[in-house]
Amino acid sequence: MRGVQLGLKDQVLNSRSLWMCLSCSTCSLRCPNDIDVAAVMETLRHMARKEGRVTVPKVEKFWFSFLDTVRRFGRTYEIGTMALYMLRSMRVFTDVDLAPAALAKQKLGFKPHVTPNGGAEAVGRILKRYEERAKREGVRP
Amino acid sequence: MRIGVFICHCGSNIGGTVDCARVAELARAFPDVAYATDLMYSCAEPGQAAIEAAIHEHKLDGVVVASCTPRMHEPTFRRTVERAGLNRYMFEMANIREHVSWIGKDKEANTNKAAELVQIAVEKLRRDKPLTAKSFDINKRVLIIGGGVAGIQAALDCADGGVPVVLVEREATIGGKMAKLDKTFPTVDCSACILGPKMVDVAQHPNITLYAYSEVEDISGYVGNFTVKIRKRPTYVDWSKCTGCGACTEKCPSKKTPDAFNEFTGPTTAINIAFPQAIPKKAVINAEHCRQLVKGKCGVCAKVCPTGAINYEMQEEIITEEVGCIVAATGYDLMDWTVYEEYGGGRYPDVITSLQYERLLSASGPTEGHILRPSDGKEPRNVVFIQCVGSRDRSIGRPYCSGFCCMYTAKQAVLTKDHIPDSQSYVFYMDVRAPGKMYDEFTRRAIEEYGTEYIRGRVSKIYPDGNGRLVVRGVDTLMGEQVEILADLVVLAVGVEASKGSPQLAEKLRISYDSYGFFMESHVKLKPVETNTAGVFLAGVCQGVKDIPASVSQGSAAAAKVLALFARDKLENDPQIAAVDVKRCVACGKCIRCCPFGAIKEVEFRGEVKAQVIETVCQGCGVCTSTCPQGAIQLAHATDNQILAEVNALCQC
Amino acid sequence: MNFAYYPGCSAAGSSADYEMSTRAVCRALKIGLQEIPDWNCCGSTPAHAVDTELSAALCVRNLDLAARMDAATVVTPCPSCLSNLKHAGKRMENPAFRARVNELLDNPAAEKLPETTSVMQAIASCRTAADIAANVCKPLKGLKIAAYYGCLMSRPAGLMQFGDPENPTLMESLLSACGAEMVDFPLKTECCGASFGIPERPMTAVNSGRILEVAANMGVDAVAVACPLCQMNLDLRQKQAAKAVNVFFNMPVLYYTQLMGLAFGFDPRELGLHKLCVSADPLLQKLDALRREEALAEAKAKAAEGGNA
Repeated sequence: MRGVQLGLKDQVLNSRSLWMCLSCSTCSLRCPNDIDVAAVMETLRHMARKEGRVTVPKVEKFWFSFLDTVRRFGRTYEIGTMALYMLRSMRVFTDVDLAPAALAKQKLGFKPHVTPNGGAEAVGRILKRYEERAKREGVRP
Repeated sequence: MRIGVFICHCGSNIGGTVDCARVAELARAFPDVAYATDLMYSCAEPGQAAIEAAIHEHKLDGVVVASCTPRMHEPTFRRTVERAGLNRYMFEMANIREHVSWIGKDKEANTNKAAELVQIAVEKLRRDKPLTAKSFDINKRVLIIGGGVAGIQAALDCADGGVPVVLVEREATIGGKMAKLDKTFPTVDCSACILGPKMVDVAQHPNITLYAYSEVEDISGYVGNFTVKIRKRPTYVDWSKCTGCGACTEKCPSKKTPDAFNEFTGPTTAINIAFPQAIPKKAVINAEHCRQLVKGKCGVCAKVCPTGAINYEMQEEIITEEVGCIVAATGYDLMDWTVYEEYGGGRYPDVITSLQYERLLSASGPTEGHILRPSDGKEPRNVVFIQCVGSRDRSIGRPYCSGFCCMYTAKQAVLTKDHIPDSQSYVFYMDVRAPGKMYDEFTRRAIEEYGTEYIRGRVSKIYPDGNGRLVVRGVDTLMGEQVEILADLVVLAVGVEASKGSPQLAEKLRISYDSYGFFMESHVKLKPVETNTAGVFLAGVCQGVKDIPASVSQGSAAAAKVLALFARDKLENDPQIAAVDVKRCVACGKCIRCCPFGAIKEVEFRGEVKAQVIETVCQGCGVCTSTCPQGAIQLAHATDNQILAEVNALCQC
Repeated sequence: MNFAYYPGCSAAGSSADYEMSTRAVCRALKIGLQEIPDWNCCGSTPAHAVDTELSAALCVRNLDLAARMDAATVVTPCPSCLSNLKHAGKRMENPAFRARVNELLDNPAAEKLPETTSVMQAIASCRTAADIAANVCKPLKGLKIAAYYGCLMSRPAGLMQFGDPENPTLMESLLSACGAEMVDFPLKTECCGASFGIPERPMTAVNSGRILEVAANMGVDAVAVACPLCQMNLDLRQKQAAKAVNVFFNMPVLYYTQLMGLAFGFDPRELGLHKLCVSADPLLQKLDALRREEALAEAKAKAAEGGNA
């Protein structure tokens, strides 16, 4: 917040904090000056991304992996997300220790859940339009 | 009529954005204006001399000064015209500073607006008539509401000055918050030892009548002649017989009565004397917890009382006192900190307020001066102090600084080390505010000599770790990282608010109060003791947060105001008041009902009922004149005709 | 009482047990859940972290489908979905924002979008504690439970309208109605570490570890949760969390609906209890033992009474 007040744009947009924030909103609740810190953080993340500054790329890679599965199937596909994330981040063994337990409890399905009746395609179109618009407006999608 | 108009530059305050010479030039064209000029500082001696000279030279019989707010200098200029031989009410003021030059930068527009305001004042002055004040007697007794250190100081100074004092205290003992403190900063001297003698002086002073366990019920009248009704709550003990021996408190079987004096840190008995130095040192029965009063059986105190002072049948009593002026010194309370759910919202016994901690430190407190945790009675090792709980926090609607918490926290940290040498204190602070004499030095000592850890940052959460200690999680903004401290005891520096019932009392006193309940002074810098109601003065925290030295100073200042007022034998009223035209009055009574000062009464006039204004009570507010359906009440110097003439002047501009 | 129902993606995967127990509890309480046909992912954290309008578009498609079902209220068990749907609904009140979102959709969204609320609040809004107690055939009496809400259920307070944002108590009222002894859990609204379990595992482990540690110190039999991600972090990742704070736990982490379902007499398998990583079997055994003892004591008392007569 101090950085924002002082106008230290580079320092703020390149900071790690932006990417480590969990958006839990506790900060907004506790701020004695009633600043919605969580909303400011979110806006800063958007600004940073649009300028192509991502100080902690693995976080963004995880997001893209997630959105890719949504684009494909309309709904999240947990194993798919993980697989894509491992590819993107080159961290092949992320959480593999948990996989047996999760699979045994049928917490992770191998089969993706597809939104039926053309819903998946509709979602795909939303993402496509979003990317096209971002490109048109000259920002990083 | 020959009117003189004086346009003040007020240095560059007005002259910077208003063409004052041009305004004077325009004024010369207004009706009845015989002379107009601009002055650099009209309130300064040369300015006033110029006005006086012009009155003589141009044979003026009315004066308009266009300058600042009348709240500032109207009395000044009234005296000026009076010195030159005019009636002091043949004077009008146009405010071209606060209403014009300070709020706009467009010089041409400002100049036009200033000229319009001057024209309005001229039109009003043309319809003014000379007025004379009436004088009336003063009742030279003073009512002081609140027996904390500010009220005590005011009472003693007034009484020493020969003025009979009526001191009303809500609690069973005087002494206020200061009586609850263990030690005081920055000298760490014992609070009871320095306040005690003053309290005794109050009890013994022949000029002071003390009503403890009493509240002000109603106030009527006006400066010089107030009538006050005081409600004496039943104590169930005849104080004329009670010797304060304490036999009743030893034998009382209701030993789990909540102890308000000890801030509920421990229990007391249903019949009780607040503390050893209480004034008056008399017992009071807490009716909600007395077995005799609740269940009708017990009567132990009545049996053991050697003087037969117990009276279970006692009723409340209303006492009427006549006084000439009033000092409000009602002090403060701590805000309800339980809104801080992140600090447990009051559910964790070892998270306490600073005032509770004072009682734990005090030898007359429930632990006899040993610091013991409320939860398990053990001595704490790590004590965490949190500043600004309910101060400087806009998110809960408390933007103001409570002023003295930084200092008492430093004191409490020092005392903690004195009591428990192997303890460690931590203070979470936002800023350390220590502007008083020897204050910053004291804080440095707490840090450097007593090893208190000061951590700049707020605490975001307190939670029990499940093993009997508290986890205090906060931020160290100087290190830029989160910190967690395992605490045995957490002391919250809880913010101050005006004492409970302040708004209601302000309405009885007909004084203003701010949105936090603090009473409004007449001028924030130049009249910090006066209110906008004549004859009502303020002392202590009821006017705004202040520490003990400042409260004592203001108590003395209020006493000086009382003594100055009473130095005169008669007072004059402001003659700009309402008057009833009996020919038009239809006795509908609307004016009587709407008057906020009770200044209108019904009288018989030639066999008919009519309204009549009590001249010495009327404050000239004008509510009645706008309420009267007949236009029968007119306010001198704000008559309907004058207001219409002003509007007319504005519309023709 | 009928609501449009948005299960959220995890209902079909990692929180299948939440889904099973939610449906079971609502069935018992005669609360109708009509699944929005063809619903899609709300976009979760990744979408709103990337772009507000993209996130809203994904959410609004669902709200629009619900509007076409003539639903007044959409309910969802997942707090993350709820937060996204609520934010989107609120932001759509701004015409400029609405226009930007409509550009991304196949067709413009309905003028009036339905309200969104949590399944928990929906239950509380249409069923009293007495209604719930009436369905209880196996009271949870004797079980000490910590209610854990996580961050999103109550924050931001103005939007979520979930009581005191620092100290919500709705879950406590529902589970108390089932007989459970609810502790005053101080970390009930702390963040568990959320979706950073994958890219920033240590952070999540520390956060979750702290929550489990305090719960364990308070001597609870289980932690009740309302969020699939919280459940995963506290349950599936419990070993990671334990390592981070250097304490060993064996703390069952159940959805509040699973606990309610148990009280309503559903079979544990029907509520998906077998899907928990930290087994709830000791908890079930304790509950059975408690009820058996109680029945025995009752029978004895009756017998004694009979003897006296």
